Amino acid sequence: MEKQKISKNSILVWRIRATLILFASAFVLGALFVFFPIISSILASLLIIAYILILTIYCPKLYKYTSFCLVGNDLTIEQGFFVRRKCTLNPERIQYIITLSGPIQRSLGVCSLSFMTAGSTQTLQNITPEDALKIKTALDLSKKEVRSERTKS
Amino acid sequence: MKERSLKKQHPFAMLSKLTGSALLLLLPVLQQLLYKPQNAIEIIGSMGISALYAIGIITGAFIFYNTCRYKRVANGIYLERGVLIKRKFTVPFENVSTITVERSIFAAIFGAARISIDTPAGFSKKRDISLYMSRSKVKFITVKILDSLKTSYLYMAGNFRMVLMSALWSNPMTGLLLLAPLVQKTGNILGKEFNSIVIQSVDFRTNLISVGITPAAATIANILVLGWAVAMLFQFFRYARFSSRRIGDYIAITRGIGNKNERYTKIHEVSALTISRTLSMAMLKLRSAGIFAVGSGKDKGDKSLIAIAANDRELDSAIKGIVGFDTHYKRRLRPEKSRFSSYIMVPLIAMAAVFAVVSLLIFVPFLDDLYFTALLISLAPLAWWIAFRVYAFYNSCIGYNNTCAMFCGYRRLSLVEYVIPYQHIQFVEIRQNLFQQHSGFCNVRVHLYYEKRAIHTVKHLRLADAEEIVKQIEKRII
Repeated sequence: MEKQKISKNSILVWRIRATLILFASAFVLGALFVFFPIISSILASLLIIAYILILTIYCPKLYKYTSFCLVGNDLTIEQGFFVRRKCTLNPERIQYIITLSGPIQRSLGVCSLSFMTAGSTQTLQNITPEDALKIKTALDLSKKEVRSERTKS
Repeated sequence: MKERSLKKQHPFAMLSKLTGSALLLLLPVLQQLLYKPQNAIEIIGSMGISALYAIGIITGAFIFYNTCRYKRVANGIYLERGVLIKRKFTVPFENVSTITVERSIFAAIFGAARISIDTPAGFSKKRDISLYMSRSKVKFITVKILDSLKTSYLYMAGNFRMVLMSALWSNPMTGLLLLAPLVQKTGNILGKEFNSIVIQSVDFRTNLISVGITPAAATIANILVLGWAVAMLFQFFRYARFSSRRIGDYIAITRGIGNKNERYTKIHEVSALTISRTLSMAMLKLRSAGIFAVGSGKDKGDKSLIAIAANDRELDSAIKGIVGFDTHYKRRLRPEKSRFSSYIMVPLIAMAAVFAVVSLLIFVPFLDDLYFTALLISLAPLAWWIAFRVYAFYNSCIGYNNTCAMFCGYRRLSLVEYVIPYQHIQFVEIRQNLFQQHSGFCNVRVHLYYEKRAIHTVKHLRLADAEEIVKQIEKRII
């Protein structure tokens, strides 16, 4: 299977999340402004710059560098912009898979998959439910294949 | 297989959630205290706000109850939960390592029980699946799991053992048990003597100061005995009617009166066997054995015991029948005799410090009479600590046999021996602090396959010998 991109809507999901964080921070800074007007003004300006950078550069770049593919029996997930991570999950090591969907994700028709292994939890964010189902089915199949090969041998 | 519909939990789950958020009900109480309504309108308004809080909490619990649904699918249990963030997952039966069934008194009143399922992927404190179901359904599930499996071994601890175990559970408590009546007796005798001499010729304050030991000692002793009795009762009810069984590939542990707890652990998921003894247990030649498995460490303070306060013969039989691990040493390494001082150094320093601090009481006017009592109360536990460390020195070791590695060292006031099958050892670490780097000694720490990444340390071993024995163990791990 070739490298597959996550849903295009993920950029919008991240942008909405950033906007919500901006609103929450603006609320806190507004309260701070009463006591420390200069400091909160500086922080607010920095926050707006960061927000613009996230919206215009970070979100599209993060989308660009996030992908997944099924190589042989394993699932490989690549993600991250500042720190790029690549992890390969063996289906036999996956104990179970959680399908997560927040309100923003649900409204945009995407979901996340959390792969629970004994060592750690890996999450593949913002994929379409069809892709999620495809991954789960593929992993199930490869798990069965590995087992049948083992029983044969 | 026929597609099943999603089921809700037992309604007790709602009540359990409500008790979890009971602290939020303090808010309206605080409001009442601070606001202090003056007239009828203000009282009605304030009560209305309190009612709104209560409605909010009840609605929250109801939504939680309504959104958590489960069903049995072909290969496992499917679960949906979450209000804002929805989680959907299937836990396959083949990956389940531990199943815990809890029946609390309150749940029993409503005919409910909680079933928890753990897999190796679970979080350290949170269970993978935890559901309230009707007791009949829980019973049906446990019967289904153990369907056609035969009990090959049964260990039951008698009530006397339970009481003994509760009494000896921790050394400080035992120390208090021995200390408290002694202190109380001393106080009473001195008080009576004093009262017979002085009778009522002095005022109350002078009486109190002159007696010195009596009121202080008696009060402290009573508090300590009361605390110990409560702890003992708690332990007794927790472990009463204890039994552990080997049923097919499962280890079943049942315990508790009132709050009944059943645990089923797959035998190949048992990461380690622990054999522990406190100093008081060692005096009575008793030991307890427990298992380390994924899911067993999530209840605070739970030790997943398989044998309680058992003598050597009973313990060996229980280990052989339930877990089947070989606990006999083929080779072992003990700390050198020259390291005896390292074992008792910390309690000795603590004792000296306490002695110095308490001795200052002599110089405080009116408090110099309390000197002896304070010294007795503070030094007795420290003397116990030293005695335990001496015992730990003579029993700490590392060893191995063909199937398991053994690490025996002290943890707080218990000497714990870990028997770990090679496949469950993650790695063995040799550590040296600054002093040990000069003296050529080290500590050896073992890391386990377990949700808390459990570790156990054996201290003050000669570096060269430790390296050699660790090499032997590592060879067997690979």
